[in-house]
Amino acid sequence: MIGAGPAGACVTWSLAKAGLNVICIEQGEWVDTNQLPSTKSNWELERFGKFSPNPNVRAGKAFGVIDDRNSPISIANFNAVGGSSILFSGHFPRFHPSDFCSKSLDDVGDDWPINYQDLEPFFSTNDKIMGVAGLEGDPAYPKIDGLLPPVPLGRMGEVLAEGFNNLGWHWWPSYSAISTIQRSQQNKCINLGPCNTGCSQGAKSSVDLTYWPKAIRNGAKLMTSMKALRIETDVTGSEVTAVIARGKDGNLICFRAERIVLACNGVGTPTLMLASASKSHPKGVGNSSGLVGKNLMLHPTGYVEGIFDEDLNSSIGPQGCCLYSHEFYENDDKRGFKKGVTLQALRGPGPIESAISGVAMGLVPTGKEHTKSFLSRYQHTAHLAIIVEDFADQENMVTLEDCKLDVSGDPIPKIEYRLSENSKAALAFGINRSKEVMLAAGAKLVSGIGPVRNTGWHLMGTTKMGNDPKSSVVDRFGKCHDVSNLYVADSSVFVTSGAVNPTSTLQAVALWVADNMLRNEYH
Amino acid sequence: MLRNEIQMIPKEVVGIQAPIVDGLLKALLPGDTANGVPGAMEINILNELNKNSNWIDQVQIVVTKVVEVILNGEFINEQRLNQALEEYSISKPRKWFAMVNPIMGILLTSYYSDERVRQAMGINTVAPFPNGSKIQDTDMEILSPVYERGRIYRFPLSSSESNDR
Repeated sequence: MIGAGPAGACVTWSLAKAGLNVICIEQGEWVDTNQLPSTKSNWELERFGKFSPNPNVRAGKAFGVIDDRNSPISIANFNAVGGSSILFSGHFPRFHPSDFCSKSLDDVGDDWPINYQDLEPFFSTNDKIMGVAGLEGDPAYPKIDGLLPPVPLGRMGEVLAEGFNNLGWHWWPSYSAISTIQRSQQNKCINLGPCNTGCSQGAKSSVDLTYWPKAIRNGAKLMTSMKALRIETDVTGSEVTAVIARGKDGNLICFRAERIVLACNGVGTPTLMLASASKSHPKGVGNSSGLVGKNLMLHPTGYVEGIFDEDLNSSIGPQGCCLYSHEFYENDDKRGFKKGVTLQALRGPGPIESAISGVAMGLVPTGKEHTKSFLSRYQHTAHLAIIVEDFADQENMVTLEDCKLDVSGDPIPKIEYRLSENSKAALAFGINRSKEVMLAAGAKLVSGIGPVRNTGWHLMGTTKMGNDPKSSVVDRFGKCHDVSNLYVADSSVFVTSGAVNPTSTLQAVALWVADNMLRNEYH
Repeated sequence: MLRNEIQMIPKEVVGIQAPIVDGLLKALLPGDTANGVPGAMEINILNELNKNSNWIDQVQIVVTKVVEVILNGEFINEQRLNQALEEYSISKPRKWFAMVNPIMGILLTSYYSDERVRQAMGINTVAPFPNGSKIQDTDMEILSPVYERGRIYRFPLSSSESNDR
């Protein structure tokens, strides 16, 4: 297993539970919750340093880890046991059933070789292990049960809810990977706020807390500070023979296993495959289709802010989990673009971010009026993020062509990405609808921007799943078409991107991959 | 303007020109004396800022522009400097913002990290953990109109079980 993030944790847990010997290697370390930013009064500052979601900022070198200069959206991730779930907001909606058959239903994108019903049992298992808060009865989804009590809306959420109600539009309390009750390995959420700098309380369902203790109890071995560099195959190229990795001391280690599963996210997985080019795989391991790294989907994101007279205490509560709307999720050709958008409420920022964004947007002046203006904005704002469905485009990619090397001599992946006209139209639509919500909720001032650069969390599509080896990289079970014992189990295999945060779905896919490996290979 | 009040400054400013930086800080973040909110100068913000190499680089660029564009290459006494900065920021707000923008992120970060500023503004000065915050529960009757509208998703491979809510 390569990668100990949300997908790698699922696969490792599932295989170890079945009695297989599983070793997972992870380039990051365990995160000490006692050292997370929210244990410090200057927690906001650490977002700009070692807890930044931007890998280049963490490394202290512009484009020194990922070269995303040719993308309006920069890549976000976190390297640690738990991967990006350490810093994610915990917003945990599933893909819709219709997301798996976009081509058949809406004549756009492609159909997945699996569907919602195939994944449904894995969604349920994952919800139980992760601990997902929410409310049953959501008209936007088939039945989802076994949820923990929802995260409280707070005054900001109530005001937004009234706005949606005034317009007659759908909204629902967020599906949140946050424990709202005391659980065996998680404490009850106490509304620290900055979930996206890690949860000191241990309430957010990052997989270092949920899956990994269970996987390790089942006998799985986890080796940290171990970066996979290269996948070796036999002379025919049909089987992986080894994975070469580098440990903390710089020594190279050769791992041999019956089967190798990659879960390094939509940038890391194709980077490793492309970096493993050989005589038998000249374009990169498993890349006879030429699609490894191609079809990168990123979810262009917009933000809309409303300023209210009322103090909404808006910075209090889980930052990304409050309520969401799928009023405009399903396709409607009358809108002038394909598929849809999610509107996701975000709590207000801390004081530093509030001041910086207020001044940058021209809403808070410098000078004598600064303090008064700042205080009329801080805690008085409500926010909606607009998440747009992105479609596969082979021009959008992760590539190692003409790439530079990092300080360790490893290739720096390059991101080539541009927004499609469809995404631009959907983003503008979502921003305008969000402004309507703010006004219907009573905002006195509304503004919106998009695409927002530092939002490239959702990395999908770069080792597409499909039945045809010519037009996909892995089969419906995540098994590489070209290499019989190589699997991919992260969001790289996504055929379409949906318009929701992908972690719930990518974990269901990871559990599906592991379950089918057990059925098909180990009976 | 009296001739003896004027000192010519080289076009290219080398090093931080202390009086101009002081004037900038007073103009940008003067605080709110009436409500006890200290300004940037009153909290000795430069002690912190001058440890930051990005600040030192950027503030030199800004000072150079201030000297060229607002002061026409002349050093004026402190009072006139403050007046010139205030007048420019009010009369040409966009140009003023463009001029000072390179230092605003660092300056605001430092200013709003200061305990005295936060206390005066009623902003929490302690770490979020372990106290957390209480949020009142909401009466979920507020969801009734959404629930009553009924299903809005599509289930292409529908079965009766799958469509149940």
